Amino acid sequence: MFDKLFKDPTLLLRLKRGDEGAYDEWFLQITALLHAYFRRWKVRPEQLPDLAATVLAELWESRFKDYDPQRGSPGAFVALIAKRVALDHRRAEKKTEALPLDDFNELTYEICMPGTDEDGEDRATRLDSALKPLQRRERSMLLRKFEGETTTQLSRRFRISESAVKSKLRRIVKKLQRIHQVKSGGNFDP
Amino acid sequence: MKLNISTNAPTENEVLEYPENPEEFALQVRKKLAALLLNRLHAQPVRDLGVGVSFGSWIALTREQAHLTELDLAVGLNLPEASIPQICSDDFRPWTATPSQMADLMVLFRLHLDAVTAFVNSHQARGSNTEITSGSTASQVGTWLRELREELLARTSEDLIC
Repeated sequence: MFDKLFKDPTLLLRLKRGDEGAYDEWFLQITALLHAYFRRWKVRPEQLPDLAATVLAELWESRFKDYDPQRGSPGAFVALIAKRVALDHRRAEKKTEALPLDDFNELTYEICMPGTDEDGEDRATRLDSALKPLQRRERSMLLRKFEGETTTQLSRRFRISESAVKSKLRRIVKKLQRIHQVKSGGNFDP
Repeated sequence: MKLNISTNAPTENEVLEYPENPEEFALQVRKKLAALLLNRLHAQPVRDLGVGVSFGSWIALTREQAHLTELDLAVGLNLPEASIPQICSDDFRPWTATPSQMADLMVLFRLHLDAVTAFVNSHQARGSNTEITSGSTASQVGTWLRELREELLARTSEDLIC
């Protein structure tokens, strides 16, 4: 399906000349095609821009250096990268599901859902006070996890391995539970 | 701009899978792409712009290294495209931007507060008096730096502060 991107000789010529309008046109086409491609992989709509951007980043960074005309068309090369990104995404989704952080998920749901509690207390205020005992780095990691960053993204950001991210998150949750159990005398209730 | 995949017309299924608003989707992707490429380029926050490098030229150089267009950057920063050449010029003074705009720029470029502070200080040291730039005194710039710090904290970008 990506071969369409390379079949308009006029557009390619304009691209080669550095025509910005041509680039914008080409960008619009490739993003639409990537949208269609990832929809077939049943990617959630909110994740589509991330995945499309990942494919483009791979293309931009490789600058087609890895492209071998013997092995297929440039469209096939784009499809190959898109497929790799889709597979990585699927694996990452499975990993997140398998992450033994039930307490973490419960805690995330409990204190991070937007809105106001029955007693009228704003959840943002609760979150702020609940995370106060944590160190700055711990808080930063937890908040980014709440915002939906994956373990891979966290490991890149904090320059530690993925397994270190997982164990740190587990430790942070345990620490929070310990602190708040002591305060509330049993159940976790920040 | 019209989405026109003229050669090799798309199938009916493909058309159904295209974004409802291709321009809007392309902008979302541009924004993510800018953040992704700059994040990959600077996995660790940048603490030093380099000796004798102006702020604007560092931004321009980094944009090129990340293979980003001015439009990508404008979308990434929620600014009009026309403002990008100003930011990338040698005359750009960070403290002329609002703390919020500057925090957006620092988060996108993974620029540590130390680098901005060092740039401000070097500018101050070169000046003959407390006037850093027309209308901005050292104390005003000091206030700006404090507000900038708060903006970064509000964005949970502690890695750009500590």
